[in-house]
Amino acid sequence: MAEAVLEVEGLIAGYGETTVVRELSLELARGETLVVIGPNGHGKTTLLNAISGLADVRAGTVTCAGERIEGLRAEQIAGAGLVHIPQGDLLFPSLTVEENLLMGAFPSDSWRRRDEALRRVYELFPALVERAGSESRTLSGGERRQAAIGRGLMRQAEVYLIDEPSLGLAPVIVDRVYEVIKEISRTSSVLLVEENFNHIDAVADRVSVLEMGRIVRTGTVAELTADEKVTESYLGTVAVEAETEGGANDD
Amino acid sequence: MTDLLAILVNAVVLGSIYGLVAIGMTLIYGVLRVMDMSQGSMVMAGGFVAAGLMGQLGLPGAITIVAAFAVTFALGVLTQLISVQPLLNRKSIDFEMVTFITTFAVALIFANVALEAFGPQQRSVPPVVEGSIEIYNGVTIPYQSLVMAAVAVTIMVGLGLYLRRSRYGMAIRAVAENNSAARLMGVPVRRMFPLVMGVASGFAGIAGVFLAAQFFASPTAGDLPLLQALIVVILGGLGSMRGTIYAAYTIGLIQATVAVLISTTWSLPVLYAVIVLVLIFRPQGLAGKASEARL
Amino acid sequence: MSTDRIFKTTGAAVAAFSLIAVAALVPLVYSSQYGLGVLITMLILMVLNTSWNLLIGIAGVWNFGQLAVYAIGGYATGIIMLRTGLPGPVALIGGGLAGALISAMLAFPTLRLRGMYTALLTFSFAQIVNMVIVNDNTGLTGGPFGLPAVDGLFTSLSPDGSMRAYYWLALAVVVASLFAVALIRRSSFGLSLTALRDSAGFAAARGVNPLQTQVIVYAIAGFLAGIAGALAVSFDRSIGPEVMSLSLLSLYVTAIVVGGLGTIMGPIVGTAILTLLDTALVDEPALKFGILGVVLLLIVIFVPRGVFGALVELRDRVSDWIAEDPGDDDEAGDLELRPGGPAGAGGG
Repeated sequence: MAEAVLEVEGLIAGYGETTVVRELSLELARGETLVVIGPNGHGKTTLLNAISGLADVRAGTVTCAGERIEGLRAEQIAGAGLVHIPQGDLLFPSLTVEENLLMGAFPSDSWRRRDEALRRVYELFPALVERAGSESRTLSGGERRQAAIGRGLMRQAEVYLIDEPSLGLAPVIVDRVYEVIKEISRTSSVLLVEENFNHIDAVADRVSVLEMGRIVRTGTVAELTADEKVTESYLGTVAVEAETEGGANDD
Repeated sequence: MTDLLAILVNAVVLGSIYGLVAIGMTLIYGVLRVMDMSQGSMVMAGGFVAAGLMGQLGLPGAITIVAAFAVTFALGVLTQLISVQPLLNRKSIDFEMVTFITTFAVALIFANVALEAFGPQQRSVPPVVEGSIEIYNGVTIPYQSLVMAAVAVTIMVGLGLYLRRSRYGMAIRAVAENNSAARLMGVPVRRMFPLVMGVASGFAGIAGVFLAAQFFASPTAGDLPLLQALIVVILGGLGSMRGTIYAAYTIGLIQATVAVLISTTWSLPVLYAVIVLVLIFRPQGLAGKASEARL
Repeated sequence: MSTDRIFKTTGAAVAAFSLIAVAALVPLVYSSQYGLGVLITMLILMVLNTSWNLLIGIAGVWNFGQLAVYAIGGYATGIIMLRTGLPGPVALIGGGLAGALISAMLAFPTLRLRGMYTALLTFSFAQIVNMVIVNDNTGLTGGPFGLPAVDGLFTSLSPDGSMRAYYWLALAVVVASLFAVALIRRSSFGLSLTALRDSAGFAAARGVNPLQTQVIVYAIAGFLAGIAGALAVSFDRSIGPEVMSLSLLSLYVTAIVVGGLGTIMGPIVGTAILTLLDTALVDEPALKFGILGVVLLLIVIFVPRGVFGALVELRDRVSDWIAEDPGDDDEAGDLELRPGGPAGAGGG
């Protein structure tokens, strides 16, 4: 197993007085794409927020590329090579699409390479090209998501944290988004939170199930689809298909 | 006709100076979400710098302006560090209300320090530029007002360009729109906050240099400008640069009209009446979002 | 928090009643006219600040126009006394009612305005009232010179007796307003206020009528402020627009915040501190602004609950420690119950 580029150990995190993540541990190997699934409200987003510095870490450690980052401020963590593409996009409404993308390359080293990065993002998301000069608040949901992901890609990162990229999107856009994520997964380490299982098997090296603030199960896509409890709760139709193909991976 | 010209001229001059003082408040509110009640003190401080450098030492206006900016920049940074920075990560407070109070407390302190240091008397301050020019049929403008308006407009335009065209200007706009997202991009918001407040206070300081010639330098010289800036900022729409500028000239126009057609003593009451009406019927002002003003 | 008892513990009740008793005895042992005058003024201000705290602290409404309400109450009482033959108490109530009416009016435009905007609206309103009074040429208010001399309430008593009467009257009003505020706080109306303050949408969904609640609390606060103004005009024998000055505004708000915004005794403690400072600095009156500014800053940053709030917290901590109660830190409880022990206090 490759070295771990992101290690979370015993994480207890939340917001203010509330605790959402309760003693959570996981490991992301370099070059790996780990998908975290689980019910809403159990801590998937809080996990990513805690790693990137937007939520309060009460205990535990987070190590990124050998550096301890828990408790640091979000802007410092971003400087340490972590890109968080948050749920809800969080674009800057009155900045244009291109300005939003450029903000993604804000740190000095990325800023120097911004023209190249911009070109690459426009290649990956051609739909953004003609909207480049429009204020991001005028974008459609699909365009917004593409802009948010594009913004995240403007920087070279050790780890990409991506939160529910398919949420609220039309299937055609979801396909496009996942094509890009697949591109990213090939060369980078990705921690992906997702509800929609349909595209996961195309990108996931491993899948973890997060329940009640903890990781309760981790395995490959095949292993998890074979697990009845998991399939019942999360995997819906995909599981039915996998089973009818002759669940050969039963323990 | 002369009346109309007088009104327009006054409106532009007044509007420019209101804009200069208010633009700082808007910048601070947009970026830090703080209603900075110490901006009036910065105007006051600028006035004292002018009283000292131009009045007593006879230094030229340009140097005084730069010095006033430097002094009030430093005061602004200091204010941010003692009255805003400590409150940044507190969760259980109404941040806007508390910082309203703390910046207000700082204003009280500054006024008192000025009182102790300089005494309560009003000091006259020479204008940055002497003389006036008659433009038409008895309507004269002091050069001071022209220079004041020109400096104010230059600063506002310069600020606008900086915000639109530069990397940090864009970052400032980003922070104002979504603090969390900006932090995820690595924008050093903590370091930017004192700087933004410093620069904004510097603008008020420069305004103070000009205003002191007309309104004298004294420890209470900042009270009225603060009130006027508040009115402009609310009328313009909290956080909106464009709105602030429109509002500044609108208020300038209203005040000039009242002053020329009725009398100067009525200009302030009319202003208050206007703001009450605005707050009742359209609290988000000219360019603010309705969701910001109403619950 | 019990919603039917005013005093949380019998200890608090005993302390409160003792304090009232001691306060009531003061004029019998302390006879300095000047000193009693200072105390009476302090008591009147306590009523004003209590009413103000009801609005900004408890109801969470940024009302900065309370001084105008106070002034209107005073002027109303003064005018009633000067122009009608109505007896003193009626004039006082008249002042209270005038305050309540004006204040209730403000409830409407401020209903759905966010904090800052309410502040500016109420403040501008106060400025307009100020200007209207100052520019009044009709002789009703006396313009910038204030009302002509008003007879006091206790003209039949000796000067000493009159002082004492004022003192007890003011004390009674203070105690009554504190009880009123406490009753409100502990009642379901108080819960509605808190709900509206913290989460307006939720409150509305639960059947709290925001307009009605707002009007009521404004009216009550206005009544108290009006009574304070009425007491002021009858004690000082006059009133003028200078009671609405910006400096006084900043002093009083500072007193409330320093004392403890949102607490019942906060305004009392704050006003007492303010009065103390005033008397200590009687030769250097302007200095108190600077000192209060520093105190305000320090309190807000380091002791955000105010002096009284901090005392309450201290007392709670002490009684918790005495009872050997792990306290209400649910976090700690959770951690201890989990096998393997608490995860430690790292990070955060």
